[in-house]
Amino acid sequence: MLRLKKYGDWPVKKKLAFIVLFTSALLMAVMVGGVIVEKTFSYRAKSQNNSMVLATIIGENLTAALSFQDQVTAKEILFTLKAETDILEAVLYCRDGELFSRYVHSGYWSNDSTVWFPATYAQEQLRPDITFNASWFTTVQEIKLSGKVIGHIVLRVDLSSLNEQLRYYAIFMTSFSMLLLFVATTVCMRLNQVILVPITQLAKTMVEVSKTQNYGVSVAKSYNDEIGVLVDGFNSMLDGIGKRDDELANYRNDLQNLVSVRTKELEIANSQLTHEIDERKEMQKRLVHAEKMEAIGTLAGGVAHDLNNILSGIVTYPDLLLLQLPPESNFIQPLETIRDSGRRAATIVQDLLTLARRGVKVEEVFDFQELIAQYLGSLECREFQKNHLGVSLHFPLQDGTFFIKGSPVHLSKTVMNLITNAMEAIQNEGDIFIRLEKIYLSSRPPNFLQWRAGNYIKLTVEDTGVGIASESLERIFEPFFSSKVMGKSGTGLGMSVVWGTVEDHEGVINVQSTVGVGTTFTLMFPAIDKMAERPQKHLDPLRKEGNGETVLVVDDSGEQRLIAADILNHLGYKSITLSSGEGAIEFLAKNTVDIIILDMLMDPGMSGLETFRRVLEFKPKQKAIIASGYSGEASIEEAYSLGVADFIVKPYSVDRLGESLHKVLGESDAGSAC
Amino acid sequence: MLAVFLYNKFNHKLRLCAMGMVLVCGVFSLVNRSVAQDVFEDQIKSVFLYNLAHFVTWPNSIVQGASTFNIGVYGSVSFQAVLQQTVETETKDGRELVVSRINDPDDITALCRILFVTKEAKGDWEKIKAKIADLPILTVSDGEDFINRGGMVSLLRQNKKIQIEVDYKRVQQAGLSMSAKLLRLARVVE
Repeated sequence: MLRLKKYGDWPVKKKLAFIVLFTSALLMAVMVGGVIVEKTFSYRAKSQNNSMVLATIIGENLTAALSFQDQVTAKEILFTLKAETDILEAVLYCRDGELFSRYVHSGYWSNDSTVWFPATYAQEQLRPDITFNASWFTTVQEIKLSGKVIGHIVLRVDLSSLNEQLRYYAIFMTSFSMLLLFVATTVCMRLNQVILVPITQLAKTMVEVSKTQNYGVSVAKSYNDEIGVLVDGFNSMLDGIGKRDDELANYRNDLQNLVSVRTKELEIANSQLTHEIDERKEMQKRLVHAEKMEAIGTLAGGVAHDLNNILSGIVTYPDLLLLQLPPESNFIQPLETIRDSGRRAATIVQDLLTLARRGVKVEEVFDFQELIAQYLGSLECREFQKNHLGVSLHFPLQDGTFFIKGSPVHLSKTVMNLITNAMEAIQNEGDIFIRLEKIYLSSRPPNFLQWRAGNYIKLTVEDTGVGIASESLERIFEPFFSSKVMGKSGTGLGMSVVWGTVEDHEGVINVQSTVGVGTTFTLMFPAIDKMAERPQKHLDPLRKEGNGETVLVVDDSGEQRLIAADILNHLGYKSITLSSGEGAIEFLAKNTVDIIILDMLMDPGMSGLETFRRVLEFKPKQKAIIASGYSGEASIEEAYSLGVADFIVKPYSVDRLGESLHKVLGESDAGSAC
Repeated sequence: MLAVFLYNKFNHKLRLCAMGMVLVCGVFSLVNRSVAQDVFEDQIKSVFLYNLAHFVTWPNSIVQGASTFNIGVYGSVSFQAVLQQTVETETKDGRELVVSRINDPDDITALCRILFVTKEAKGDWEKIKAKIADLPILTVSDGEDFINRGGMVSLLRQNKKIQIEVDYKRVQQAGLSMSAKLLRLARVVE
């Protein structure tokens, strides 16, 4: 089995060659053997036949000699066999078995003669027979006369010629067989290609496929035989595997794509979730902050209205009294102190109200540099600088514009608060550097939750003051937190107002401070490319007096009506005061005024906003200003949407009321002029 | 040893008697030996005579219809007896061999195929020859000069061998034919 297995591992080509060679050799050997055997037997039969014929003829010729006991003649007759070279020996026996005569071929002598041809033969031994030996055979033939055996003749026939002939045949046939074998092998190897080539191609393709795993190949079919069927089957199998692989690849790709899409979606969702969590945290933070602000606002709002009314007298009347007193009066100084105290109280109330009013959307496009410059050049700022003579303000004006959108009033207050803070941080001498620059933010800066990629206006206020301790740095935007000496200045709400304003303008504020070195506030607001088209008013900022225009003041507070009437009269306006909205509607139904100043909250009765809405029904072009110590954001928004021209904060000041009336009526003039 | 023992055993008379018997037996045996040699020669001649029949062919007209093959012996009675004994069970072409003794030439008939004239009867040969002049009878004799006297075949003893002599021409004249095989070993007289 091992041996057969060894052969079984041979290549098909070798096996076929071996089979052909083996089969051919076997057939040739059988053929050669068969021919030799056939020749042997046929030659022997022929020789035997010839020898028997010869023996018969010789025997016939010897009948007379044997009959008449003539040994001489018998010898002569036997001697005639010398012509037959194959006859080695001939012996003639009498009827009684006696050796009668003998002939031996010249040159031949065999030791076997005595054995095979004794002097006498037993009668029974002398029967017609043929005995073969390796190199000769003997023929015994009876000699009969008239049907009666009168003697026997024995011929020893040489087989050397037969052997010679057989040798010749063997050599010839072997040579011929070898030649045939060679021819058969050559032809077979040629013809084997018909079988081997398709098998080889098939095997080669199978190896290639197993190596490369490429099932897209196919085997060329040569013939429609069994190998052809095998090739068809193999190709079909490859095709099937290829299709299945393609399907699997498609499924895999689809799956990968699906996983990729799902992963991306999950990443996006995760990112959104993270963002939402951040936003939620921030919103929570802002909510907490806003709630705090809301609580303060509510508190402030609750007291501001009444406080404003109380403060109105303290703030407004000193101004009116000072206008009427001679310069040498001893009451000027006390009145100014009363006025300043009242103003400070009013400022606190205003800051409270500013915090409470957060979210007011005044979207006005303006140049931030211009706004800062205006503030720095304002009387308020200059007066403040007088108290900090050692402080140098540095604000280099730059070419170009720094447009932002928002509330100029709030941003101006923000700038004021920052500069005030910086000045107060500098104890003796120091510098305040105010810088504006345009930047592009491509990535989110720290703490800037409302960031969007784009251009920003960056405001830096840097001082060389005492600095803020790091533990206080996180709390500076909290209401009523102050690192400064309490009561020195400010309301404790300045930085909260700044923070709220920056948030409202979708900006960010960062603060860096080192104790003993200084503090740097960095604010960033979204920049506007160009200033929106808006009517430019060229009003005289200093001009606050009226020209006798009729102003209707509607306020439920008698004190406020009185103060307002005094201011208006002082400013050159004609004032009419009413205590309720219903009264105002009734009045306006019959009369016309240039402008109405409406108190927002009037208790009981119609609110200022409702009054204005009713007035607009029959006087759609009626101008109005809303005045209030406190009001919710929604109502202010609604007032602006109804067409209210301006909003002023009570208590009334001469300047603010004069500016507002002049602005609103001036717009009217400008509009009518157009 | 046996003779010495017997000689010592028997007396004088008995010795004389025994010697006489031995002598008589010796004379008798010599005579008997001569007779035996003649018988042996006759036997060989009878065999030869019988064998001749196989190498000679008679005309069909003669052979057809015959149921026997007749051999006649003229002369020696003993030879006839020996021949009779030799061919007792033999046949020629399926015909029984019949040996008959002929005492008178006139007794010779056409039925006879071979006529053997013994050497003792050579005096009657002329009569016999005249009688069978035109008959297809093979004449054979063991007498000398038989061929010269008009015989066909003679069987003559030469040393230890029987020599066959044939006058083939005479055989042919008698309408007979003789096998070449026989002629090869015979001495043919012209």
